[in-house]
Amino acid sequence: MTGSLPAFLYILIAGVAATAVWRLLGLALSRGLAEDSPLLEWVRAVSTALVAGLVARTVMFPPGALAEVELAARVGAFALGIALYMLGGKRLGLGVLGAALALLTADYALG
Amino acid sequence: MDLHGAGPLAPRRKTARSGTVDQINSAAGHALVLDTCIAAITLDLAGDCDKFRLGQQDNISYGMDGTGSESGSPAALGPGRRISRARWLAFLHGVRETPLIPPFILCLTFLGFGALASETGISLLNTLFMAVFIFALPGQVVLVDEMARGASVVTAAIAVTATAVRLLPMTVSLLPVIRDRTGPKWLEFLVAYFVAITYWVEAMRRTPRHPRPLRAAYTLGIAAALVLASSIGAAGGFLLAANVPRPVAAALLFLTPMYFLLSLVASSRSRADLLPIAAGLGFGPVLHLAVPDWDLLLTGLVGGTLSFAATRWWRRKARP
Repeated sequence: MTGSLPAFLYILIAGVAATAVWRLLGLALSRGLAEDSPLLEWVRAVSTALVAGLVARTVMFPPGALAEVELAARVGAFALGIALYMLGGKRLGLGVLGAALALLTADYALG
Repeated sequence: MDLHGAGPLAPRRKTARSGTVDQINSAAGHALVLDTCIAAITLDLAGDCDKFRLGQQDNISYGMDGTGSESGSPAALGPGRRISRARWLAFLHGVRETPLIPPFILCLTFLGFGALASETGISLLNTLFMAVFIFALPGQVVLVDEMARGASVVTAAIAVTATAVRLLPMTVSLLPVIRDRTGPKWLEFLVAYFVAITYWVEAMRRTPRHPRPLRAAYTLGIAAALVLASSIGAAGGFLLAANVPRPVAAALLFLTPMYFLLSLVASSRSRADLLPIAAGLGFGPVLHLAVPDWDLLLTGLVGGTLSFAATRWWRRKARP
């Protein structure tokens, strides 16, 4: 699964170190960099778009068991989650759980 | 249960850079003393309250490095020892004051991650290792994805690091809030190490109302509650995945993207912040079909840069 490298080392390098480096860089930069500097604004935009891209990819081209659910059910539940969050007083729990329940219901109804 | 009741935008107010006597003696300071006493009584440490209060008076000017007077008799605790105790209480206070909903959602989304890891064939120990020491769900999901595809460690590291860039601005904006020049450096290190979306949102909301010397410890309490909830979720999801019906497993996997998207929306401070979210949602699937190996990184760079440029252009135009 991870070539010749033990899974633990693979995770340590490609996961732990690859993540920690930005936090530690942030720690170092936080002493000098203004929070509203254009550079940080750009970095924030790039990372936000990246995570949103991951979200869209997971919904459109999902992994594992999620791939067995119809595309329409996935997109519908996703849209419903956003709507519940927006209309329900911006409660994350409502949006997330509502979407998951909607997906489950749609899956049983369609499948 | 006010999840994002006050709005994640609320905690953004600027605060003084270093602790002053005024600040410590402010209403907020007293509120913390009271709250911490309640915590202390609950934890059967009531006697420490007075020491804590004393510590607040004299720790301003000297000896707050948490190392002083370790050898002194218990009856004459030095200020350093007192602030250590106060920090410890603030930490427990942070754990206790963390509202139930964020750790609950985190636990649920880590259920999804645990289920994914289990389906990929990663061991339970490695799954927990990721949950605690990466502690950034997008990176973990990408890593598992890369491992499943048999990607090289370099490819995986680049993809994971690309998802983790967003932690840099979060760290840069959180650290000045908790920084205390007189405190030990390792506290700052720990705060930085666990920066992630949920922690950042909660810490930015809750920490500014506490006295500066105790902020790092207090936010670490929040972090501890969240790490614990995540680990429980990851282990639970791992063990459940093989034992639940497929539609339930699918619903578990769906929690993560939904949660990511809504936290991005929740931590946006203006309409302009929604632009990169929309760009990412649009570019993500298209670039995945066009350049499957570099889709996430390109989505970030293209979508983020376009949104950034558009926002700047629009702002310049709006200005007279």
